[in-house]
Amino acid sequence: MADRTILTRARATAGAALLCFVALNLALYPLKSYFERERRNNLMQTERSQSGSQDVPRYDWSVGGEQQKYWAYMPDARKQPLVVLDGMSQIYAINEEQPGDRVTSEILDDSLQGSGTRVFSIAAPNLNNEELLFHLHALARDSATTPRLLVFGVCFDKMRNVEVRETMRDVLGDVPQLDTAWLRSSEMLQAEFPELAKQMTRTLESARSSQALRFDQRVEQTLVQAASELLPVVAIRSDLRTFLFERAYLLRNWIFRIKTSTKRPILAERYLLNQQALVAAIRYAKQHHIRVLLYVVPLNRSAETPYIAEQYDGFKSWLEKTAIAERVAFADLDTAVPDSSWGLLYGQPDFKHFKDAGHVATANALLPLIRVQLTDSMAR
Amino acid sequence: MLFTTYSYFVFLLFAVAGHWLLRGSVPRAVWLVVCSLTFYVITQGLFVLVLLAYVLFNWWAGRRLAGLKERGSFLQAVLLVNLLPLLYYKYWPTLSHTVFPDAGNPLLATVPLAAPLGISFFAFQASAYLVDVSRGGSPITSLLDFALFKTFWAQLVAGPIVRASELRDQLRVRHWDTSASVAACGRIVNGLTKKIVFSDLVAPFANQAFQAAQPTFLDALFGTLAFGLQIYFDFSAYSDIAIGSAQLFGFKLPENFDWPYIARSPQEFWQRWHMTLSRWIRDYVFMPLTMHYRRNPIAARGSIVLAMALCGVWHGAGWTFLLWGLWHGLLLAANATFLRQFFSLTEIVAWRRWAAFAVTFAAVQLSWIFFRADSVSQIADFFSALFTMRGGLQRAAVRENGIIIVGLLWIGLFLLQHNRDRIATWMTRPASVLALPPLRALQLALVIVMHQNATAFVYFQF
Repeated sequence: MADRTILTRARATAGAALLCFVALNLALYPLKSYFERERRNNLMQTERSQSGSQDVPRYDWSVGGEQQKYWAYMPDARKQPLVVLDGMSQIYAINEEQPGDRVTSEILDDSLQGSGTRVFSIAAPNLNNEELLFHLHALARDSATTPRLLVFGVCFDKMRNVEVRETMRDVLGDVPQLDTAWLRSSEMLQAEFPELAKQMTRTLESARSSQALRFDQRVEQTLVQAASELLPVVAIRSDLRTFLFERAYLLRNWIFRIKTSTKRPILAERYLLNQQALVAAIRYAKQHHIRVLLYVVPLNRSAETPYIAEQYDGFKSWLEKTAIAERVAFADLDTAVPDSSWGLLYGQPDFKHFKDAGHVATANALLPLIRVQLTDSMAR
Repeated sequence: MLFTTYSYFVFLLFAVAGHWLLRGSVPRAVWLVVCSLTFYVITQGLFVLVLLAYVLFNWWAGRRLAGLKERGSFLQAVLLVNLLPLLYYKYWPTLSHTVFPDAGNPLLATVPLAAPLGISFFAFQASAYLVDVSRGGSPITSLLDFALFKTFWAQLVAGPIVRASELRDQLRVRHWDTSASVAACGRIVNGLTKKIVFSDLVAPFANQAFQAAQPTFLDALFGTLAFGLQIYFDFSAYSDIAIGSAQLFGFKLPENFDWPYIARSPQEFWQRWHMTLSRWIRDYVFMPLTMHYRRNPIAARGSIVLAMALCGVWHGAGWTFLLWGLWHGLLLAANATFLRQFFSLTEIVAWRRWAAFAVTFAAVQLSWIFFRADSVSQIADFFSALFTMRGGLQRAAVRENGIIIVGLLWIGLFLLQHNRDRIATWMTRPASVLALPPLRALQLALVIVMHQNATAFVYFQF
């Protein structure tokens, strides 16, 4: 009798759990469109990658997610001078986007096309300097993608991030030439920048180990795809994850009274790695005859930033000195975008992402500097 | 094939269905051996030949050993043969580079590029089997049964280290048990939660600290605590999935974890942490050493240090693992001698119990520095950061979120440990029948949502 009770209970529990799981899946299905909207609001995705736009991409619409797909749209550097614009979300995000708005790289491209130069942007959210170094390795491996000029918007708070993101790292594992170039660079940097060399080795090891699992991954991807078609919770898992983390992030902010303007000191180790990676990137570019223009990204001066003033000033000063020492062009666009061109994020003034007018202002500030660099490079 | 992949669950479903659809113990055993070898081939390719060599050799050696009257020298010879592949694959790469630092030395060409997955586990299991037979245990005479005992994938790669005596009766006679299978599914979901939701969540924070060139006090503290969580969730998750998977075929594997971070003495910690390895070390290393030195009390006490040093080296060929083993050996020796009273488990004074718990907890967490560090100098650097409070309350590497998440997970784990009996009692009440299904459904959904890319279990490197 007791056995029968246990058995009945086990069956009931299993059956009810399955039913609950099915019900949960049904309940989650309508959330798909909500998540798409949220993703755009958080500036983690471009409007165009979702709208089915017929335009030919002039920047990486996947913002680092599907690099190989969008890099294929990069104008052929063998046919005309190519300028590549790299950096963080400010470069591709448009706050309060309206139809017909253009991002910085598109405005620059429209302005320079007449003189036979093309502009393409490969910006990605929170891009750090090791990722810039990775981008340079990926660009320089093929003459069709080797730009005449690389324009890099340096953002102070991205100096807190390290590691090459997985979607980029996978490209490293896919292309043997890139693997070799990355390894050679890490070996060459060993003496001067041991911390960076170690980090680059870790990146390479991760790329190689994920490459070794590639067959398994193909099978796995097929199964995940099949599960996605069957179960909504699998199909929208990455959106749900973002949703959960965002809520956890807001809860954290609420509990600890953290605002977007709460001061966040630099993390010394990470800052150092990013400093080393930027210098290494400049040198790598020069080795491959790529000119470099560094600029301090514009900030909304009417909004409070999370930066500690002395640390931010120190960063700008270091960047300028580095540009002079490494003989590359430098511009401080900190105040280049007027107060009226900024938007909101989480209901507060956004100190980093601007509206269409901000892109116009940034492009106008960069245009003469780019022209000088292109003229100089042709003169040589 | 990792336990946290969709591929594994398709494989498991296929294997379970095939197993119970077949009639008779022999077809089922054949099916499980085929499934196990397939699992190993998918994961390790031609290294399956090493595994097969272990199966055939130990099956033969066990039978031969049982027939001998004088077993000592034969046992030593077969144990040496068992350990040779382990020495070659696991220790030769490190040893060769130490002995022959010259990169041009031709002997370095003999260094293997990779080791068969789980070789430490199946080499130790095979050796224990032969020792048991030499002590009078009966050998497994059927090659099919022995192959199943040695290759069954749920215990092959990272334990639990199962003894022949524990599995012998289950090799042929197993019955479908619905309630046990439902419990097994629940256990697998628990394991997935531990690995995907918790271990993979804290792993980056441990990495941030251990990859820092000069960690501060806070980096070292939270990095160590993060790794303490990571390794517990990771390894106990693996054990949960392994034990749960085996249960779906009617096997009952021994437990490997029993709330280790609640221990009030180093000895109790090892009765709760990686329990099947602890008893292996106790029965096959510590006890024989103690017996050997029974006339010399100091050497007998030292045998625990030696046994734990071997346990450390079993985890990896490096000074860091040796130091980890020595640290635990010394803690156990102190526990058995001058700190016996302090660590007494029968202590009734509350503050003394708490003090013993706190000291054990701190000693165990500090031991993870040895385990996770890449070098002896990094160990020294971490201890220096911790004990000199380097950098005050500044952080150089660990981000704010790391501190919050690690802190919250430790609080959650302590609460869970403290209320474990109440939770177990609640699970037997009728109310749990109503609450459990939606909780399980949510738990599974959480696992799916948090699952990004399957990452290998920490213990796969051993």
